[in-house]
Amino acid sequence: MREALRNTGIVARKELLTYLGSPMAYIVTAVFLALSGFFFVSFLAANSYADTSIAGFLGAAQVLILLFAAILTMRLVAEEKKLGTWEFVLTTPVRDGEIIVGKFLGSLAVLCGMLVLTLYYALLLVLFGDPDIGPMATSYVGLLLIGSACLAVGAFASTVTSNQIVSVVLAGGILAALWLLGLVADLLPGGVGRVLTRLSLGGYFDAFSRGIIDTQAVVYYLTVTILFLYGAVRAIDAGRWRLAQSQGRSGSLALIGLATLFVAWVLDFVLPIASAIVTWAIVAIGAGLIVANAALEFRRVRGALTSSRGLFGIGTGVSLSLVVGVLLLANLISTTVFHRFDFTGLDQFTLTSQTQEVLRELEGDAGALKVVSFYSDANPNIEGSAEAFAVNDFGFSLLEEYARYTDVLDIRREDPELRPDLIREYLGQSPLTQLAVQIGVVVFRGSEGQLWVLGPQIQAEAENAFTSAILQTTGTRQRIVYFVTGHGEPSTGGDYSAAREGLRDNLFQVGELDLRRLDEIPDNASAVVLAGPQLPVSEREIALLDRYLRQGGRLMLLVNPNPQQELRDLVASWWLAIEDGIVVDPPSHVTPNIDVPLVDARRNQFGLSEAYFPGATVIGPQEDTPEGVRVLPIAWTTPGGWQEKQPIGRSDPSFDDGVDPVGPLALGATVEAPVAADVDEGEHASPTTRLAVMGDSDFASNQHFRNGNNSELFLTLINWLGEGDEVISVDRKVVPLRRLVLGPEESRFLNLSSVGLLPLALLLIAGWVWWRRR
Amino acid sequence: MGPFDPLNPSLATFRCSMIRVEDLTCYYGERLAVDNIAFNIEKGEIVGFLGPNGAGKSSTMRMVTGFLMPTRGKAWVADHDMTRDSREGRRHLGYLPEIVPLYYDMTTRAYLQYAGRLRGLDKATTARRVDEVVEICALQEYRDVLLAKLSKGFRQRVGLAQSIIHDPEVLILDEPTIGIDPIQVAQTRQLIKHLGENRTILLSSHILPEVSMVCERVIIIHQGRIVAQDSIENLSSLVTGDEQLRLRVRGPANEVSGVLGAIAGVSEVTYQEPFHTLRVEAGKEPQGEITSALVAKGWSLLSMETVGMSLEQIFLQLTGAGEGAS
Ligand SMILES: Nc1ncnc2c1ncn2[C@@H]1O[C@H](COP(=O)(O)OP(=O)(O)O)[C@@H](O)[C@H]1O
Ligand SMILES: [Mg+2]
Repeated sequence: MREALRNTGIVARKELLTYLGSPMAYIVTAVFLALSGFFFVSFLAANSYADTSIAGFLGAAQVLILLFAAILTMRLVAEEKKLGTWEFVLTTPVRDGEIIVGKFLGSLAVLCGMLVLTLYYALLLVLFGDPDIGPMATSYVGLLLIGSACLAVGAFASTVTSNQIVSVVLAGGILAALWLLGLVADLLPGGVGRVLTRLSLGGYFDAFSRGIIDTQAVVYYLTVTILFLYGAVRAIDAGRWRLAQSQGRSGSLALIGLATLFVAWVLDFVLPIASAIVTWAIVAIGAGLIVANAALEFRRVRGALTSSRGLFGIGTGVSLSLVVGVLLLANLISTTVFHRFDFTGLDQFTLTSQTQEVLRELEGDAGALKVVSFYSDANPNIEGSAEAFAVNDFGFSLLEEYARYTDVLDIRREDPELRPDLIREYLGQSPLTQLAVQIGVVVFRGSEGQLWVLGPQIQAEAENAFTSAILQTTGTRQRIVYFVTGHGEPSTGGDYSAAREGLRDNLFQVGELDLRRLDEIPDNASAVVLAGPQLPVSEREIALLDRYLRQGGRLMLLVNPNPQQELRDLVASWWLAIEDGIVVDPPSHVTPNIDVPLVDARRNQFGLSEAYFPGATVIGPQEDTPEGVRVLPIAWTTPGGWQEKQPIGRSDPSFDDGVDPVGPLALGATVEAPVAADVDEGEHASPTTRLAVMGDSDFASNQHFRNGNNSELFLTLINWLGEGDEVISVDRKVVPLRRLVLGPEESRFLNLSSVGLLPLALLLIAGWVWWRRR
Repeated sequence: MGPFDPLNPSLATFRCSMIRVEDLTCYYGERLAVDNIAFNIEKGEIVGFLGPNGAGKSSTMRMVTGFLMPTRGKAWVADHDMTRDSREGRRHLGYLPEIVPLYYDMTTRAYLQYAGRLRGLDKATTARRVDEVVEICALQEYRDVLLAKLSKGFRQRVGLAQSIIHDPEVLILDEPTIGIDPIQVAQTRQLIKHLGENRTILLSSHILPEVSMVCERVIIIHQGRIVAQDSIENLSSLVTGDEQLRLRVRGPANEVSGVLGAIAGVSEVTYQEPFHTLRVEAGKEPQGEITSALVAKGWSLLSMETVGMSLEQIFLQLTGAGEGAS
């Protein structure tokens, strides 16, 4: 092992020095930097600088890196064969694998050097704006990975030939073909298409540029890298057995075919839409040539691949099956248990567990839910158009995240100017159409109808809007939380609007319930909330709630100190007691209000780090509960707290021994009880009753909801009532709009230095190296 | 130690076999380049591997060094099977391929260092050995010169230096004197002799005198088969003692041929601008008669030299003799 590392290191070092000692690497890098610098600044300019990302550079780099790798690696082995040094290298006691990996690492070092130089763009963004660093970092991880894969392909190509031009064409062709798989995949339906997408080189990079590291993508790129390096090692061995003895121009048709694919690939970037048919025609020709070549040379190809000492023959069967087996396994595992690490500043692309669950459980045929995002290009003459574009862009990226979890979604992004037919189909011709297109719109069309999500809504609550739209247009049942009204409760449109938003963010629908007009609680209720009634609740209404509970209902009751007797009776029949008085907790309160107890992580059921209750009463669990009933305090005071029976205000509250109940006191409790056997289960058919009672309703009001972990407490209780087990929270995706602040001087500097500075420096070095060697 | 063969204790068992080849056959696609050859080279021997271009010398050497795998048969170097265990075998081996393997963008020193490191030497040893082999190969002045700037002869020496950097027991040199000028050829020959004092060497060439000056034993290969393998002395007696004379004469070529052909002891005359080549029967010395015959005709003799049999002729003879014997 140590020897292997040593040998690999020696070869890698030599290769690196060779690169540094010849002008070629500098010139290639200079061209690369000039092009990527150009795309970097033109992207920013096209978006009127309402962007602080390196997206322009990345778009170009992920393509240029293919060419760069093919050219950089062409000499690795082919040159040695031409020079005759290959005979020298292969007769030293160094393993084939060590040679290949060493050479690969040498070229990887050059790639790293080049990527380090491109950090200049990031530096400019930091100087003139406030970019999100996470996505930049992950982009570089992605570039390194895709670069490795390309270099490995190049190393392989260089190993199978002694002609550097052939090597470039071969590497470029293989890479283009791997990339084009993605395009082919778009045309093919169902499983085949998805498998091809998985195999395609181009499909994985976007996630990295968005700030996400997807284990699946990492595994894919490493697989390509290892596979081609292994192929190169096998090719060396095949050379020893003279299996690929080229006879005349036997492979030239295939080579032309690969070159043709390469042309198609370039065309696909240069003229993406206009030339679709041309591109396809060229792809077809290229593929045809390769197939024809293989058919003409069938015996030789078969011989080279399968003879016992062949590239993939029995002789190498064990090692081959080992490598392929391990890689296959890694890929299978990675497609099923993948993880996506989100490195964006605000976790913008991490879908909430609720959304993930919705998507995983989404029913329907593949592609049944059509999602079309219409965008308008940023137009410097229209106020806000750049922002609208950025928002739409973000929205679509988020949708791509959605599509990773389900194949029911068929997401597309269309330029309305190019597809007026789609506008008519999805948006109709109402007066709103034009406006919708201008601010960006995403249309969801499923079996249950169609919904628009407009730009501003995406900016404010993209995930909530999208997920709700998916649920509604696919007719998936949503959990509904009803708030009882009619007794002066804080309303979901008023003092409880934050709570309502929190619920909606967690994909609950929110409804209101006027018990006075109802004979029964609606059976689609996931939970019913009676929060802080200020007027008496009638006996009939309480009976209705009690009956609901006995049938397995789910109720959240938020009471304030000294509630009406009927409510005390109701909770008493569920093993809870409410006494008069208000809780004070001198050791732990929100200063300066001694009557606002503050609980920490050790003093609540869910381990939330802090929650507080302005003006609370005690919800005391009764001592003895029947078998099967579970009564648990939700939150409780310190032992130093008590329930003050005297009205507070005039004087400081003081503890009256024997009168005031002493801490720790429960501030709320959950009750879980089985439904009695003799109860007519009615429509609810739930085997257990769940009841959550808090001695305060203010903690969930707008003033306090977003403070501490109050929102988590409220939402988690609702979730528990609806059978959910995990702690949930508000998780709202807001699109951060960042922009560069540039004066005219600065903008000139940005443009010129990005495009010119580094390439010029490199060309100078190249010239110096060349001059020194002469 | 060499392999002990209980059935044949006579030869190889008393000395170590350093290079051994059995049934070695090499096809390039359909083309047969080496046809079922076998030989054995013992420790300390310097063996010449002789044959015209395309005979299969390089192919054989490539199989011995592990650069190529034989289609059939096996080769051993220091008892390591080069078809299975070639990495171990390669540790004992120094190899100078026919095309001198040089990275032209490196200096002599950097190249030799790289070779040393690849051969498994540590940094300190490499530095020391680089100095030593530079000394041995008389490259002191070219230590820091780019290989691209060296002349052919010096490149050859760098190639040799590379092959001995790790002080190998076995040295395989493929046409080490090809294409360099006569003075350098002599120096290189001297160098190889020196190297052979404590090494086993297999050296290929297509020029007989080349080999006979350095080697104790010669293996002659023709069209992929071994046609003779013996010590130099035995080999020369095998070939009949015919000699050749090569003259340059100022005079009409055809007439000159006629006159020369008529001289006793001359069995054959060929003319190829500007030389007449005479085949002389063994034991005859017709030089005097030739001179006087030419003078009598008034033609001037510009040069006359004795040359050995051409390799081709030896081969013809050997292959003919071989067929006769078998
Ligand atoms: N790489 C190759 N591909 C095909 N034929 C080859 C190759 N190398 C050598 N040959 C053929 O094999 C025969 C032996 O070549 P070689 O071993 O180089 O002979 P030598 O070194 O004695 O001149 C020749 O006829 C040559 O044309
Ligand atoms: Mg040769």
